Amino acid sequence: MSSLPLSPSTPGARVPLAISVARPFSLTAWRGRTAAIATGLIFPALLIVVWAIAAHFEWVAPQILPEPGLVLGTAIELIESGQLQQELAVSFGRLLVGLLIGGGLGLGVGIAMGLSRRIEVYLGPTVRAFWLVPSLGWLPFFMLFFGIGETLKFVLIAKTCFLPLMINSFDGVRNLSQKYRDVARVLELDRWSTLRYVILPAILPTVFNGFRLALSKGWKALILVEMIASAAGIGYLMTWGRKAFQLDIVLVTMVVIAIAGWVLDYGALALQKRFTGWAGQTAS
Amino acid sequence: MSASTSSHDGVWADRLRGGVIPLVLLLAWVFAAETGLGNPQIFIPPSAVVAAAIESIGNGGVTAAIVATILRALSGFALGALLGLLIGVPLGLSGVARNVLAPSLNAARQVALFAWIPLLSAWLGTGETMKIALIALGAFFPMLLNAEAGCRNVPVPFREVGRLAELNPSEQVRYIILPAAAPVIISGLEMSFATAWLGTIGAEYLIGTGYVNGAGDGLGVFLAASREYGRMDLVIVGIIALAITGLVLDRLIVGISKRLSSWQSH
Repeated sequence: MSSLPLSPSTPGARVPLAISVARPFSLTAWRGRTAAIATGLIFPALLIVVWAIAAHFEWVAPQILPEPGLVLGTAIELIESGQLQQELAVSFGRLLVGLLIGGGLGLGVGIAMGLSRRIEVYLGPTVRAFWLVPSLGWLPFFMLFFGIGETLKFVLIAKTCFLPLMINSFDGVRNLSQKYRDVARVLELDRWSTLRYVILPAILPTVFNGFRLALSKGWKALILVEMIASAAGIGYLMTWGRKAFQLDIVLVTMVVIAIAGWVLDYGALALQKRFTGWAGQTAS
Repeated sequence: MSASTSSHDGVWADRLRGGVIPLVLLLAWVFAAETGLGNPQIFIPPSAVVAAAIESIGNGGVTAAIVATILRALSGFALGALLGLLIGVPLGLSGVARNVLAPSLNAARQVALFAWIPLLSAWLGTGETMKIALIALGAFFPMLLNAEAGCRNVPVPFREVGRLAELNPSEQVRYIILPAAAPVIISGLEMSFATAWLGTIGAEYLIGTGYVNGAGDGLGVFLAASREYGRMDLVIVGIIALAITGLVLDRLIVGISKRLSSWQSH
């Protein structure tokens, strides 16, 4: 980095840097990070203090604002009884099935449309029209069509996960460098080997982008369908807490939903780095 | 000339080919409806859908719902985007503000939009306030992110010009920072609206009791009620209305943001 010429007009000492540059361990860097975490905690801490005071003096009804201690107690209780893990397992199971069906189909259709203009011409408009309406809009239609059983959840999540993977694999194939195709032709690979050894590895980075998007959108769609039509899962637990006016449960599940969503994305990002780290290195 | 005509023909031929699958699906649907092979509650004939469309436009049901939804979406969007801008700009400009608030806002952003509904409905009731709050929340975060990034990435020389011209802080924001960050902020408008639109339908759908209480309830309630009564014809009419309204509003916002950023090309 230091070999790069600095732009002439940046003596800028007074302007704070947005990103602290990562360096090998040093005490100042460590202090800086601790300070950053501490600063970040100021606002949540203030919020909790105000919350505790408001709840203690019952400025608002306790049904509407439970005490922070009660929320923490409920969280521990839900974890100890295993109910939280159970509902989460149900939700993750649904997400996995929906993602496999919708994502797999999206990947296949995207690659097929990218490789064959004929398939794109026939299938493209239908797919685009279908996805004009968000998953939420299709929900009442699906509910009448599939009932409110497990099929409904799989279909809705699959529908949500289909598009990001389809678009990204389609774009990946379309933007594939001609050189790759030339190599496949020179090596006289048959269709299947070209797909397996040339196209799939080449579009992997793009496909991963689609996968991450599908995962995050699928998770949100799952919460939605569980809130509307379900008897299990984390979204159901939240709605149940709301209906019973147990806002402690609502708050706990909100935090769990946020953490789970974040972990899913973080995990997908780690996978992406692990499997497509080469992409950044060989780009030339 | 002939080349352009033939490519024009090609476009139309492709459009016709694109219509093959929808046509086959439609025929299969009609076949299932006419022969009674499919559940008659679900596989309703297309004529029934057309009749339902005419009926609900005639009695104003669907048109009133569309108007209510558009007004709600736009007011929630305006509120949320404005708040996102008001908080995003200082966050982008001040490292201290960023260090204090960014972690909390990032954590709050992780909560799926619809997961706010139970809490917000307990706090704000199930009326208009809560719906607008949810829509504004959806519009808030994309705008916040873009405004923050846009202002943070304003080149240092630009800021120095402001200091050299001895502008006061509010003038610097007005004449230097905002114009420089405008492209990023404007592209945030589109994303912000997309989320606001989802939030609108979600708020209406989840909070609507499932029974139309009169005009001004919105498309989400229209859909929820139609499903409640098992009226597949009205559900399809509602979905089509939803698609068209969403598309028109999206084009509108894209058009506005193109106009706003047209100064760049001059």
